[in-house]
Amino acid sequence: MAKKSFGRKRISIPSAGLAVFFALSVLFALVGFFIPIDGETAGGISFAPASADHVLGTDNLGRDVFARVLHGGAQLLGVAAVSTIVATAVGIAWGFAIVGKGVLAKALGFVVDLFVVMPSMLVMMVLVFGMGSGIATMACVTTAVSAPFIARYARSVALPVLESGYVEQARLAGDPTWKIAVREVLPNIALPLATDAGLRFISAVYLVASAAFLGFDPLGTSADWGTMIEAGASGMSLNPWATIAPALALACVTVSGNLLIDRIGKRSEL
Amino acid sequence: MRVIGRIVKFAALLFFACFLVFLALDVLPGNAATQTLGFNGTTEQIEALAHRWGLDAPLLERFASWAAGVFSGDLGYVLSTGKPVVEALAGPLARTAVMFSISLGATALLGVAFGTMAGLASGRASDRIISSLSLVIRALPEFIIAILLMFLLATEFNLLPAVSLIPVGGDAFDDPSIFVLPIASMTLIGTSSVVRSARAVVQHENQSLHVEAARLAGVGEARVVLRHVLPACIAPIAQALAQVVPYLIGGAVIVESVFSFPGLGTMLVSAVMDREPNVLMACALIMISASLVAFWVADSLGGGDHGEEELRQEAH
Repeated sequence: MAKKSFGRKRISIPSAGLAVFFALSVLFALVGFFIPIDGETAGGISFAPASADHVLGTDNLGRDVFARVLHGGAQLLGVAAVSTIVATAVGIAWGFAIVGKGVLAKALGFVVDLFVVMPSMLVMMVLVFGMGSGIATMACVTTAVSAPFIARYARSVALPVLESGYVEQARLAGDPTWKIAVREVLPNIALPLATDAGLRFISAVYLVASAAFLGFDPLGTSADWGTMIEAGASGMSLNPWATIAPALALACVTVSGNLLIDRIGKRSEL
Repeated sequence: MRVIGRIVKFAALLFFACFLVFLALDVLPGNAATQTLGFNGTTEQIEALAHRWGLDAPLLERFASWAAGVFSGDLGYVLSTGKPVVEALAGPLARTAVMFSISLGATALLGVAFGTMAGLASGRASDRIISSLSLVIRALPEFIIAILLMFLLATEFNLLPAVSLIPVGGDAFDDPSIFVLPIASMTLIGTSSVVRSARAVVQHENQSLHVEAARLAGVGEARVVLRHVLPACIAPIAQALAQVVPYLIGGAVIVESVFSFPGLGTMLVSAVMDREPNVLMACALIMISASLVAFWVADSLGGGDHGEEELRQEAH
């Protein structure tokens, strides 16, 4: 539906500005690697308000919120990125597999429909309890939750390309199906798929952060933004920064990322 | 024929989705017996309890007996308490149903109102404010929206309870204030999606020939909007609303746990924690059926892949 929504819309924030903001938000998550302040040792009382010693106060265990925010993003975004790559690869292959009309394609299509209606929280809980925390688990969760949607989308953008002349030609030349898919179809739908993968990355960030927030400990540490938001919530009246600071850091990534992808999506459709 | 095919597919999806949930709970380490007895139980005690609850029967046999029960209206018992699931479910289901319906109603109202406003003012300041705001809200994870609302309305200004506690000795409906924050969060989440779809539809329709003709014929602006623009928008907007339902069902689980709202979502979470098969299956049955119905409605309102684009954007 979004296709129809832009006539001659003036752009208020320049796209370059958005891109810079997004890059800065992601960089902010990586800063922790280079800064030697430690967010793990308790250096004060619980939920102390902001002061000269602790710029953003302390959390539930008396640890410095600012240091923890600096350290709490890299792993979260890294896991989301790895998960997105896995989910996108699986989703695209799945999408190509359901293009045809054979029995296998129909069966795989049914599995797509099946996974789409599964409550995502349920999938997440089952996989986290069953497999334990870690990158592999989160990659599986992200794949189970988003690959069906990627598959549907990949199928819908691949279909028109498959009916085009050059695919027909390759087919007549006797190229095997996989070769046609990789050589002829994939390059032509790379842009929409890349835009979709961008959205999927943001979704994966949501998913990992939500899992952390709900206390499923997806990364095996308590030092990520999602867990920090949860841990800080109980002391919100004492030191709101313990919750608000990680929430803002997370929001900067998801909001600027989403706005940027929205912009790119509109451009590529024009 | 087509309707029959759809019903068959609906039933097949529901059946296999339930089986998948059943299977998933089964592969998890531990069962209801180990979760009930905890570290205190000996292996013999755990095995005896599992046997009494029928947990040692083969998977397919257990699933078959559960499915047979569903057809005769029997959802089984909560293993650890011996209460019928229907009884245990009634309260949470009623609370979630009320919370969900009010949120959906408010989403419809606000989504259409703001979407129409933005669509009619396409490109102008009011459109840009509404569009950017909805995009920003949609880009925030559900739990951050809920936490921010909690911070503003419960912690800072102390207007509402931060946690949805049922009054002692009473009913959740005795204290409607516990519903406000969950409903507000859900409405924000839903509205931010619907506004975008509604705006696109209204803007497109507003530029169509018959609307232009009506304007040129001197029909008043209010009449143009009510009689010429909106009627054509009803089906696609209804489709957008149906598409937001499965998304909101997922959001409800998170929103409920932020506010400890005693509803279906928190029940689902604790059913997985306690490995209670019958409770989990009842929750899953309700949530999956609701999603399937919503997808079905969305499908039959649109031409099929019309909604694909939006679906892709909403689902996460």
